[in-house]
Amino acid sequence: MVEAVTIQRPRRWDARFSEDMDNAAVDRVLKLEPFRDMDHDRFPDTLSLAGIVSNDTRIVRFQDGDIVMREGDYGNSAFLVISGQVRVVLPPGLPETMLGRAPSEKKSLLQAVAQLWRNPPYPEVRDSYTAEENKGTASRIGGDQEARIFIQDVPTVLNEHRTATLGAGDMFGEIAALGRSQRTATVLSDGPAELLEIRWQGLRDIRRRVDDFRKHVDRLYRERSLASHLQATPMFQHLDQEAINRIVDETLFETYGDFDWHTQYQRSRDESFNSRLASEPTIVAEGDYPDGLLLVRAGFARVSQGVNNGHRTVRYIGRGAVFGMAEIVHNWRQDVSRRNSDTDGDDGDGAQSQSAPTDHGSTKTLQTTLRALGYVDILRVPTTVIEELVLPTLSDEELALYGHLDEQAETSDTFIGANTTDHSMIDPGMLEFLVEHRYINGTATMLIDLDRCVRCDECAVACSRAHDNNPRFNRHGRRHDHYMVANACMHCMDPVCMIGCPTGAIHRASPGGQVVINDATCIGCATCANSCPYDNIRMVEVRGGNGTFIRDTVTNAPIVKATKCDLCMDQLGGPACERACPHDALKRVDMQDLTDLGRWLNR
Amino acid sequence: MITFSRRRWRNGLISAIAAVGLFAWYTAYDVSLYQPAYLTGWLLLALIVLLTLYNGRKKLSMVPLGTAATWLQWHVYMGLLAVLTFAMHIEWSIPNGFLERLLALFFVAVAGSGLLGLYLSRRFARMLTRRTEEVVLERIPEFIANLRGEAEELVMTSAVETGSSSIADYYGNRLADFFAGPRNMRLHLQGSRRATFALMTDLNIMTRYLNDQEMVYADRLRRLVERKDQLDYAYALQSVLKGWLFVHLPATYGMILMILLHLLLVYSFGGAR
Repeated sequence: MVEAVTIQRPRRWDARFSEDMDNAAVDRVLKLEPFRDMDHDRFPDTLSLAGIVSNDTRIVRFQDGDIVMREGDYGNSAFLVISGQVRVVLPPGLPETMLGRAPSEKKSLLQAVAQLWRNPPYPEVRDSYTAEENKGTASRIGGDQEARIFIQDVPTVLNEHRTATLGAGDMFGEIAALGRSQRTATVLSDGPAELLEIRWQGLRDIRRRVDDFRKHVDRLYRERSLASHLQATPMFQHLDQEAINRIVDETLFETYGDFDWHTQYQRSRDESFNSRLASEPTIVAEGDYPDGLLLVRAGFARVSQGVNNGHRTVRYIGRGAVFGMAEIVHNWRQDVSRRNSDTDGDDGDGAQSQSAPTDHGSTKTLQTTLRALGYVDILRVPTTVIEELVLPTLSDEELALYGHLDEQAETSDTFIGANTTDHSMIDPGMLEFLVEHRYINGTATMLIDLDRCVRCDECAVACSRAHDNNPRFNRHGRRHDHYMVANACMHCMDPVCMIGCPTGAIHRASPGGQVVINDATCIGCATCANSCPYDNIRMVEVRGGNGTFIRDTVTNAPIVKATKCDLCMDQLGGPACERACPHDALKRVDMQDLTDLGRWLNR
Repeated sequence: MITFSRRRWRNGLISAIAAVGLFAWYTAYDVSLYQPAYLTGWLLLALIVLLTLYNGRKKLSMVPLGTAATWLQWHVYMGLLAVLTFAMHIEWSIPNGFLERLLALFFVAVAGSGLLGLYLSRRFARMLTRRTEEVVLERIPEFIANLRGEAEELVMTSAVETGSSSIADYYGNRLADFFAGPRNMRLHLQGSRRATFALMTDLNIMTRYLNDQEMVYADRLRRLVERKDQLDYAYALQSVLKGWLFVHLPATYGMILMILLHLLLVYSFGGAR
């Protein structure tokens, strides 16, 4: 008889952030700002502040020039400077080559081919599972794998790039940690520095219980992201620092919807369209005066237009988009032309003070309504500021581009760099479908054209081969017309599955940003599977190499792990499903790339 | 991203140019008093080897050798060129030897099943999308068995609750075989709904003898018949979509064996070249 493999069921904090956080280190951290002022009674016994510091933080020491974090990485932790100082490299940042980026580990050609005969005969086998767990996340920290990238010629870098200095008591990295997003800047150690790294689960638990800390983090979170966000917006890129600073001072921060939007969405999925629409917070309504330019800093919003008694979705917008520019430009051009006309009337040969063309018409109110789809962070730059600092600096071509106003909702609120007509390539019904079911969140949504799919399941077979004979998606899902969105992880822009993972097993891979699960630290709690609004994460009972279920030494219950599509990140050539489809029926679509989506839908 | 229409034009044009080039080469060979059968024969063999590589590519999905869709395009257009080369090789006439005829038959089977498969892939995929829910072929017998269980339970309950055997009789006479497994494949492939229509007509006629209570059961039975009909439809189309490869691939293997024999004979007993 084959003997069952048994292990102890993993629990929260089984995998500590660092084994080096002994009592002395924890005591030392608890005496630092802001921990020393925190009320320990606000934390339950099962989740004490000392416990959080002990398990969710670690002290990291950096030498001069070490890169603490890199712009573009997906970070799950924030840093607090204990001693020394660090430099934040301001935009445009360091070149990629200087950041020491290495490609993620992929299978060799031989290893890839060997999958044909090396894949285990049983489902969900974790042959190397025990070994992997023994090694563990904690043992890697401070070991040989803790290779740091450092800048060799620090003075040159500091001369050639603008930097900001952070010293003892300053915190950074919280934007990426809390927003589950990419790091917005590279940070270097300026001389020896000692930092406290707090992984986001700990940051979240402290933030939830300590008001001052929450306000402090939120203030940093809002303030620091603004300048870089503005500078990444095309219409602000050419502005000088003084103008940017003025805009930063005048900008209002607004938040709509719920951070945990997925729970509300799951509850309301079966409600009627109108009741769901009514539950979406209105950011600005059609017919309102455009009192500010809206910049979407995080999340998604629905742009809709009233049609008789209902609302038609015109498009969706997300991080990086601007809204309301067309109306502001239109109104400003009218004011300018009216003033010019008055001037011409007064002296007959008045000089053209602005390059804006003449355009006599009525003041335009907003042509569309903007609603929050889940959680949306909005930056509102007052119209007066735009009129004073931005519009006069734009060329005629730029004004024409941003100010293109069509009362059939052809406004210029688009993603950065996107063509304004991209959305028009997408059938309105399809657009409603994608927005309704929040598929717009996906960066690698699996779309299947059923008119071309011959149901051969080559996609599923290829996926299975690439994952030890375990398919990581289900060729099944919601349909619109002849398109299906299959149940495959979409690698969301806002990966709500990562919310609440007690061990951080589900995380963003670097450098691709894929949402992946670290099998070794997954405790099988199913939080991610329950959070995923798209039912794309499966819980599976894992087996040993001999095919028997791996069981908990105490309860004898099978060990369960979360599994999902990893976009074949360790395979050569990208997602196997897409490459295996002989009929061009399947595509992993980035829903933010409307051009690509529109073209694919209209092949 | 290139549209399908543009891609068809592009690939068709390239193939047409290749075909013209091939024909010119063949003619040049012929007027130079070479034996063009050797040219077309070796070209054909090369094309067939390249065509068979597509199946290998499908097995090696984990190796970055280009997408299967690109390979299929090559497969289709090179297959068309192979047909032309084959026609030139046999000099547009039926071969006269037994082995040559057998080889030609294999080639026709391979090319014909390939073209038919391509046509069915495009047509049946659309037909499936229009009429059925997505269901995996291998699971259809299981779903049919479930439906049969539901139908039998419904009929039994109806007989017990209403004290009438009308529905049970109808089920025994008309539906028992229908629910026994996938049915009416040929009619579904032809796009005909005659069999289902006949069942429904009989069901409607039978309702004349039912009271209100029985009518409720009859309506539920009607819905089960409709669901079973959908499964039959999916089964018929999906079976053909997968099944044509069971002609194409074995015929290919047979053809390759015949080609080897053909080569052996040609080089053993062929005349001056």
